[in-house]
Amino acid sequence: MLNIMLVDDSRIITRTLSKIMHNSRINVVGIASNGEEAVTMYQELQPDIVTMDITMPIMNGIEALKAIKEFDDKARVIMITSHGEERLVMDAISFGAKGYILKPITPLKVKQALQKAYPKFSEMIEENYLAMTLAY
Amino acid sequence: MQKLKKLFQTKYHPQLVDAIIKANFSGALLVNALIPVVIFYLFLGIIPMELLVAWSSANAVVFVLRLILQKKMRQNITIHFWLLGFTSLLYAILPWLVLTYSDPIHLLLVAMIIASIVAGSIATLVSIYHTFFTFVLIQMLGLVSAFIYMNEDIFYLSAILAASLLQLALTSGYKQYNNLTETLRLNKELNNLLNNTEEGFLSFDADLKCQSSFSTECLRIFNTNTIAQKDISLLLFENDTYKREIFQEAIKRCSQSDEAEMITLFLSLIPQEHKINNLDISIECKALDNGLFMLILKDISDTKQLESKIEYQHKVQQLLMNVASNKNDFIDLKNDFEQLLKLLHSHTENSLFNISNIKKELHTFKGNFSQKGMIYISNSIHDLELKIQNLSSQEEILSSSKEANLQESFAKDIAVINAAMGEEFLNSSRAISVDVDAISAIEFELKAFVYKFNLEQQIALNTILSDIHKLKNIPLIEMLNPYKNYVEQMAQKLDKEVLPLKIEGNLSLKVSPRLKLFMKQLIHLFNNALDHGIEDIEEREATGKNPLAQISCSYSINAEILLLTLSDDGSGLDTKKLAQKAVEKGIKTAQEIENMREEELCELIFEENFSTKESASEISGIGIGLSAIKSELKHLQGKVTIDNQLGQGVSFHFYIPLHKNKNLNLYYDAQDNNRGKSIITTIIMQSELFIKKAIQTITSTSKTLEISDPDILFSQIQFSGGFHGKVILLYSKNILEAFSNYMIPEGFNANERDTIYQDVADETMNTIVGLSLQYFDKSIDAVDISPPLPREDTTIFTILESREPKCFATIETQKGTFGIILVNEDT
Repeated sequence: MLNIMLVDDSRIITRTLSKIMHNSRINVVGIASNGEEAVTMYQELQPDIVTMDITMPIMNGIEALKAIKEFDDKARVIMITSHGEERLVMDAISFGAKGYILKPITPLKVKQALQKAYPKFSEMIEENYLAMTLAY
Repeated sequence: MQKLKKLFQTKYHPQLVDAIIKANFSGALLVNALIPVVIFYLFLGIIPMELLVAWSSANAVVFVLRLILQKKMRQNITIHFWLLGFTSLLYAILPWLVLTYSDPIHLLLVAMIIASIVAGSIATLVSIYHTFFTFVLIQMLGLVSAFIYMNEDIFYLSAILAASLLQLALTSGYKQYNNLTETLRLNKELNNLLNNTEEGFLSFDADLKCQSSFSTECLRIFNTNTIAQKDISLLLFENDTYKREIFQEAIKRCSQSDEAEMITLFLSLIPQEHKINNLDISIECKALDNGLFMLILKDISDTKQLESKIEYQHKVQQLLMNVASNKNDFIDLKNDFEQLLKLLHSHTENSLFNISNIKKELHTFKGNFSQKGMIYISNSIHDLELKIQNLSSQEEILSSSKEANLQESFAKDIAVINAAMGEEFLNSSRAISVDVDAISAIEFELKAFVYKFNLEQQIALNTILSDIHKLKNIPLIEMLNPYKNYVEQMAQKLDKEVLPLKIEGNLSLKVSPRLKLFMKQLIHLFNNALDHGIEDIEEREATGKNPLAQISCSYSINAEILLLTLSDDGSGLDTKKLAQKAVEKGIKTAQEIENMREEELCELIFEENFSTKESASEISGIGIGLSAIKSELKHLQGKVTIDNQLGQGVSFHFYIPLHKNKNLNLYYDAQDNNRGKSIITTIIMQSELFIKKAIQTITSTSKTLEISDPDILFSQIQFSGGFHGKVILLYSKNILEAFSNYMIPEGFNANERDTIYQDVADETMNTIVGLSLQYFDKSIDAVDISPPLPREDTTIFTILESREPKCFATIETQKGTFGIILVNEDT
């Protein structure tokens, strides 16, 4: 079972993501609503994958990514981004983000990003994808 | 495809590099292969040690040269090469150790062979063809020098060497030549394939300079002769600074990074589509392993066109659905618009024309057309609106309207419907709309001679009349339902998350068709709520609201008044902003604003030319839509109250009388009021009898109040008891004169005239109503009449002020006009 942690200040986004994750049998272990919370939560939960919004209050996604990477060099972080944030995404990638999902979020985009970030689980994700799209 | 790309990746003069490496390799191999032979001769004492030393050193030189070459070409250095190098070095070091003496001839020979190898290597760098000749040439020189020095041993050795070299050179050269022609042929084939894939392939370096190999499609896409050495970011995104910078940044980061995964991520951020020279181009970028980047460009204009065609078809379907499900509605809309077009075109400079009305009407039509999915006409009107929004001269507006050629775009939309539904669809439905007109016609005709029947027949007829009138009523829900779709579509367009429109009210409630225009104009209020009222999802979340906004609409009827409420849970009206804007626009002065109540400030949004947004969007914001609602509301004699809560949303409560002028319920409007009907018909009859006696002739009796004489006198009387109401009789000055002459045959003084006229009016009223009393229907038990009411009572003015006073009858005579109004106060 893949453990995932969601970081986003928008409840709509986390709700959508949770739904998709749930349908693809990925375990959402935690939801943080800002960068600071995300860093402490990551240290506590040590999930396999993190999805991270870029623009957030208190501590933005890039800073949180840096902090998480400092703590765990192997952390797999996928950025959630929208059009116009390309430069920030590039920064995030330079700091070690494993991928990004461009809003609006769809099951297909989530699947592709997860597969790229975590090839080990690629097959499992593929298997559940059908169920995921059907339920979406 | 994959194979082609792979082949292309090695296309950096691959044949040449390959050939050089091979030549060099065979050279080195030769040197290495011959060394044991040389050692053998060495032991036999035939050749000196120096030769071996030189030979091995040369080998090492070749080796170093090749290393440099391969590094330069960014080629991988194979294990064979390292082995070869190692043995070469070993052979070079060993002889150096045993070299103890010198001999001029030997040294010369050593030098010559070193020279031959060095020269061969240098030549190899230039071109493979010359290598072997140089080799052979220099060997021949060695042969000759050996001959000159008459050293037999050396001569033989050199001869053997030269012969073997020659043979090797020939076979190797032949092989190389074959290889080269083959690679050239392959290259040509490959180019051919690449040029015919209709995809643009090109490569560029980290400094964004295009390399010299590219497929011909690139030239077509960029519309140029060559792209070699040009800046690729400029070629791709000449007009789009943002995209260009993203592209440059991504490439920069790629060239700084050496993690393949990261590079792929960076490259995926490069814009994947762009319009270049009016072509839609898809862009795919890959990093090659020699530090270059490759671009694959595809012309997807056709696909794009197809997509937009599909989208267009989708819109057409939406239009057809709309038209088919609300056919009558559409016919009305079409007729109304055609009328407006006619008006715009037949207009002459002198005719009266309300410019602001035209703007309003156009705006409402635009909203309705876009709601129906009529793209051509709604786009045309939108363009026209932008053009005329700052014009105030009537002439300019009219000429722009004519220029805009709205007919043509409208015809296009209609043609779409006709093509799908057949022309008879819209024509046949015209028959239905004529039906409604026919109802009105029948109604009118019946009313015209209803009083000619006896009372019982009249009562029956009047009941029928009232029913016929109700046939024209429309269910209110039918006028509201289209907004459900509209709200959904608009929300999508504006990127707002909105729950489906909630409509609450009695489904069977029917209202008079005169509310139609008002209901259509509500579109502006919906637009306003969606565009300005409802916040972005993030903002809503931040303020703790349900992220999904709700627009709702409810209606009910109370005491013949329709209450229609439209509310949203958006940000509400910012009255401070409204006030500020009103002052800026010069609609109100700062002082006026100061004295205004909160409620009045809210109502500012209904002011003409009022808009808090700077530019007109397609959806709302020209600032005339909401004022259209207000003026139509006034026309309907309704009013609006606004319940505004900043940050929580706003509700508009519209109060609209179901019937015009609530206190003027003429008999045929009052439901189930046979008494009124009976009374008025009787009064008409008696009036006609009286007039016939007084003036002898009646020209016509009609259903409208048409008293052209500005000087009208009136008298009124109050009914109470079985029927509660008023009778008002209106007299033009000249008919009163005739009545006066009839009633006072002896004549009167001119200075008494005004009092006499009033007395005559009252007396006529008494006579007519008094005579009528005995003919009233039996259902009206007892009716008392008051003496004529004082003229200070101003009810009459309210009646006359209302735009369409519902007068029961006008009796036209040669001498003047006589009007009758019955006011039913039974509620």
